[in-house]
Amino acid sequence: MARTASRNIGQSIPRLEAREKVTGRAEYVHHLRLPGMLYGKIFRSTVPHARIKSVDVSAAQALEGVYRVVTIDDIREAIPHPYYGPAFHDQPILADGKVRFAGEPVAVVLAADPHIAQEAVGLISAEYEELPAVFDEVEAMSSDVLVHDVLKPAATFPDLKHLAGRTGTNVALDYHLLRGDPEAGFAAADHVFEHTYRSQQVMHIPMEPFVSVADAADGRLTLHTASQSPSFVRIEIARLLGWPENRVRVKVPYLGGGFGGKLYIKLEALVTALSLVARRPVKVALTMEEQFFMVTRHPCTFTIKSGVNKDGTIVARTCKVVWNGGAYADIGPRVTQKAGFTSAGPYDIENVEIHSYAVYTNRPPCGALRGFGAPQTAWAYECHMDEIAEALGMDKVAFRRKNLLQNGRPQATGTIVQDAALEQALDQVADRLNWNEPLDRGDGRIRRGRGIAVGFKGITAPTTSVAIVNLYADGSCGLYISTVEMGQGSDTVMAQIAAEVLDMDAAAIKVVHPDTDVTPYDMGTLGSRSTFHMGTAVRLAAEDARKKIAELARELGLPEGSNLPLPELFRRKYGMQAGNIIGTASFIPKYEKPDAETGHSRNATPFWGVGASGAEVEVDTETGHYRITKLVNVADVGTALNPKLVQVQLSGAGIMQLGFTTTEEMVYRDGQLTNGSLADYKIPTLLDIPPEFINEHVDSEQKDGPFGGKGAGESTTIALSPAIGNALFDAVGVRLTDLPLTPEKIFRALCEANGTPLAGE
Amino acid sequence: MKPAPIAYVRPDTVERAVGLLSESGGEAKVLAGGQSLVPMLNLRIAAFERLVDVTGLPGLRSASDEGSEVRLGACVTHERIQTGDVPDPSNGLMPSTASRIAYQAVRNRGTIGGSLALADPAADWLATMAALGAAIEWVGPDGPGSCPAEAFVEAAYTTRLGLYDVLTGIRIPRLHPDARWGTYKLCRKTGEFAHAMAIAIRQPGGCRAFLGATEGAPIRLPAVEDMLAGLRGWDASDAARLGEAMAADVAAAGRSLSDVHAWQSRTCLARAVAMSFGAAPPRLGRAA
Repeated sequence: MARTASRNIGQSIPRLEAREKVTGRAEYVHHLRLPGMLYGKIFRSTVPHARIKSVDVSAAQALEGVYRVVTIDDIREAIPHPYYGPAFHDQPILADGKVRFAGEPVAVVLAADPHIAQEAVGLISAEYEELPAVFDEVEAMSSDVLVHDVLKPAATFPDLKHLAGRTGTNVALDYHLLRGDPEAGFAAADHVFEHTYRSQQVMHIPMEPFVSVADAADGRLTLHTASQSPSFVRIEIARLLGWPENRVRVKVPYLGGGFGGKLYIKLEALVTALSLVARRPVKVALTMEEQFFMVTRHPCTFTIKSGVNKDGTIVARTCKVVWNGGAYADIGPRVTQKAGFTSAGPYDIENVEIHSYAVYTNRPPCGALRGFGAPQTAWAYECHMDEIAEALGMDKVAFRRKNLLQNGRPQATGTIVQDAALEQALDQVADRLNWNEPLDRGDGRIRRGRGIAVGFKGITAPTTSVAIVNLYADGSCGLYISTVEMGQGSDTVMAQIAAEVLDMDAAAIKVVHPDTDVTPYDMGTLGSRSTFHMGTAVRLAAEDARKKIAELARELGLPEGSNLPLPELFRRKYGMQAGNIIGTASFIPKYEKPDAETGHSRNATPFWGVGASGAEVEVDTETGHYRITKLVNVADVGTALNPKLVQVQLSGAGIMQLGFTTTEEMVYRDGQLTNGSLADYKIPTLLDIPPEFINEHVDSEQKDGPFGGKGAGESTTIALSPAIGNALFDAVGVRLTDLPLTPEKIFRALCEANGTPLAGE
Repeated sequence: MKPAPIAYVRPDTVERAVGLLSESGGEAKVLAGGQSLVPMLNLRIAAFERLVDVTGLPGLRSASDEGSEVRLGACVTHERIQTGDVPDPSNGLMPSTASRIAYQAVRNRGTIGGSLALADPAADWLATMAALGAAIEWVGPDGPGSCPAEAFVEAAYTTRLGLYDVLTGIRIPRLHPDARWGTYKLCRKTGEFAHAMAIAIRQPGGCRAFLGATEGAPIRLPAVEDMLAGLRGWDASDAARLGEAMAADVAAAGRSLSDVHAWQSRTCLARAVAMSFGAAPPRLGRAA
């Protein structure tokens, strides 16, 4: 990209908040204490599915220092219909007659001292009439065990309306896509391949656990909350209370990580209800362990079938994707649709059929997690691609390249692909792996292999961002946005964009953090959307401000192009240092919702997220243990507005997905989570980073993005798992279909392949 | 999380430490390096009213070379064993083992006595001390006591130590100068506890072989030891016979290992034995 040198765009400007953070001065909700504030501690269900016969809170209530114990009956006095959720209003603020997963909140103890509240929680007891439970997504599709008696879609999403009142099913949403005639395609194809792959349940593990504070008084409510979507919180709380939005104020300082977990509405409904009931400010802060019961990533079972000709052309593909949504829908139906429509992979296939199902089970709820379903689908379609190439005896890169979607070609929905650097990303990974050079494959007990994968994702749509640029009388600038700075560097990038338009230094711009009384609407900081959506809104708002400066200059009779400093303009206008220039803009990209029957859309996504990964592994064939000796991630982020921030987004997402690939899994026994603590659930540490760890972006441009940029937060989560799975196959010739890729599974598969299968557990 | 409020004392005599433990009636816990106990307190998996810090007790941080054996105070850290700051009776086995315990931050504070007293089955010192024929010493309300390391562990996290006993030191007999050892363990993640582990020592007058990282005490392997005594070298074709001997020993000990675990233990053992004959075990992740 030939681009004239800019002092902002394309520069690795240090994070604006770096000093605050490294000196421990950054503001987080965990630090907040309001006068008279009570702490709430949660009593949770110990069974996965049951009718609640009784809850005995008397001993807890009697403990000295306990202010009050709250159950759903108390909450109903403040909120008559205490059910919430972004897609379905299916989640009760506290268990209402039934519990649907082990760990579900049943009662809350309020006390001025959180330790007393915690002690009192231990004094509560509940009696349950246990019900049969269902945990597996495929079983739940046809099980007699029903998690919910009736479906309750929210009005937020018009395309879910038809599900209202549906009974006798665990399927919360089914999404279908049909392109061409897959059956005819299979019949005509030289080969047909079918495989099933599974992804496991994992959790976000933000360093800052969920925390919210509600302060309700005099018919007004202020929420201080670690949320990625303050605007949505306001709308949903206003709906729950039947209040106008302007009586609900939502403030979000910095977040210590979100990763999709802190989206939509989580603890906010509970703390609001508690504050209304107690008439005091209330804080609920989860422990690291409790986070496992808040929201997780969907387990997924994906059966994929392809018809392929001898020359390697894929002519037909069907995808059946079943998403385990847990006990409450959260945003699962959206995951089902968004990851559903790309589940055939980034390939140009004439005949495609997709069926994607969101299914309720008796597990903790599943929602958005960095990639919004794309990593689960790519795990399947990219392992499947390798299995086909292997069977055809084709080079894995050449086979992909032959079928890859090119810009200008229609994706399965019919949307014409634009600005998706799929081939560039694939080629760059192949180059970094020296794909065309032979690999030292090792001998004896240690074998080496390498694998590659590429994937893409659509972006949540349609969503809106609004920005305000406020120029003060001294010429300094405040940027008012509801994008949440959660470690990704959004304050810095948004300041860079505004500064570029206003010809200022990014570091001189004050980014005002979300406060719904002050900052305008934004759909949420999620799904790689902020740079593109809010970035565009900020650019337009800054341009609006420039236009107003020019108007002011004209009004003051200055010649066109006069370069009078802004403070001087203000002084001439108001006779003193006074006034503001306020630039505003909103942005909503073009979008066409998919046809209910065919899933077709001419505009399915504002842009494409693209990621390719490659891995080299060494496997100890006598134990199944392996090391990833080299890991390469390449993403298409459009123009890298801040290359350093892009770099850390790519590596951070890569390390996160590395954990989801190698060690992380929520393990259950009879519906009880058995490893719900970081002592047992192992996430990567610095010592687990591969010795060669390369994270790069391709040289590309998103033409309708702000200064050519687009999102970068999720791209490297997409293709990483299959790259490692494919490398393991390349090394030792066994194919693992289920994540995570543990040494035990590899060893078991090796024994099986050697004709000496182990007896089984 | 942070631990619940807890009293902390650092007595300066063993008698005082035992007294403090006794008077707390089981509500006190000995604190040495704190590398397991403190996280458990923080996670509130464990709760005590009082911590009795034994790192100030006379002699617990010292080591003495007594010719035929070395005595290590219970609070000697893994780091001091790793770096040779204390005498090594084991021809390098103990420094090598210490260097592979968890990661450096743990080794800096974690102690050999604390590790033994906790008796996590996957901990390195349980099997190593048993293999070296060490003796564990303690002082309790009834005075001093001791037992062979091999008999010290009764089950996972359960030892011969009474509620009010303080582990004071370990006596480790010096290996024969011609003794050769091998050890191998499998950890899923860097710094994690092992999930399979084996130690083999060949020396004149008796070989020793143990499996660690089982679900209980380390498992001694007498049939394997007999086989080792007869081996003049290691050939990969010996692995089958070694595996059979190991399986017989595990069964004879009344223990059982799950299928993957049995195979991984067998591989660890074969590698440990091969290592005792000078064959470096395969290691993953070495830069090519």
